[in-house]
Amino acid sequence: MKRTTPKQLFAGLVVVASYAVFLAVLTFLPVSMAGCKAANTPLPAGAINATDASLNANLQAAHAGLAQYEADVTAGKHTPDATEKTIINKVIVSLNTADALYQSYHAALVANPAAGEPQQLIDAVMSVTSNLSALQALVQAVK
Amino acid sequence: MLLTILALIGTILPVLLKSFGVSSSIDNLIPAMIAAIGQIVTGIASKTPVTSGLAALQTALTALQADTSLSPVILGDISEGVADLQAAIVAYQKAQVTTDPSTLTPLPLLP
Repeated sequence: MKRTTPKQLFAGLVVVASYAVFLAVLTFLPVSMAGCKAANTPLPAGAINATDASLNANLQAAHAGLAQYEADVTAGKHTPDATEKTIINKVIVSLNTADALYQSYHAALVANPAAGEPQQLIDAVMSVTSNLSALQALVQAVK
Repeated sequence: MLLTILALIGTILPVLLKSFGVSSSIDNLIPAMIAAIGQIVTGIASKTPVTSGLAALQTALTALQADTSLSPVILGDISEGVADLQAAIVAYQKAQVTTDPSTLTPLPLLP
């Protein structure tokens, strides 16, 4: 049976921890989506309302962090073990789904600024959150 | 939201580093890293550049790289973690200026 030393495990988990942190933002998305109030600060260009802007910013941050992580893996700078890879891929799938649903929601808002947040999008974000929990558990396991 | 992210990394990463006894020098670096993260949090909250905070994080990383007790593999992963964080922060800040969902192209699965 393959043994993993604490340092070997740590090596992968540093990246996982950073990555988990990026995605932790999504934990709070359902709350922001349900009760987002108009902020005093001006909306970004292209945003229809505060919820739209918040969703975009959080998904962009998670997306960029993951893309950088994948770039490092592709470049051979980091080699995830099987467990890490499985969890990361689950997050990627759920994030891609959330991204696509958000894009549809944004398009709906452009057509009708009063359009409500679809339940599918909220569910997709919850799915990302669920997969994030697995990452957090992985981090917690070595603390 | 990103403030939550940074608050988490401010606790998780140093704890992980220390829990494995990676280096005694981490005792000195933890306050520096937390201060740097604080700068980033403040910068984002006030919508001001977080360049100095990121630079401070990089400084902490440089200090870690001088620690001969760390393996190149671990140092590489630390560097990548910081790079991931930078990418996320840059994207978040860019999104504060412009909302453009078209940039959210599907990410490929890890092979």
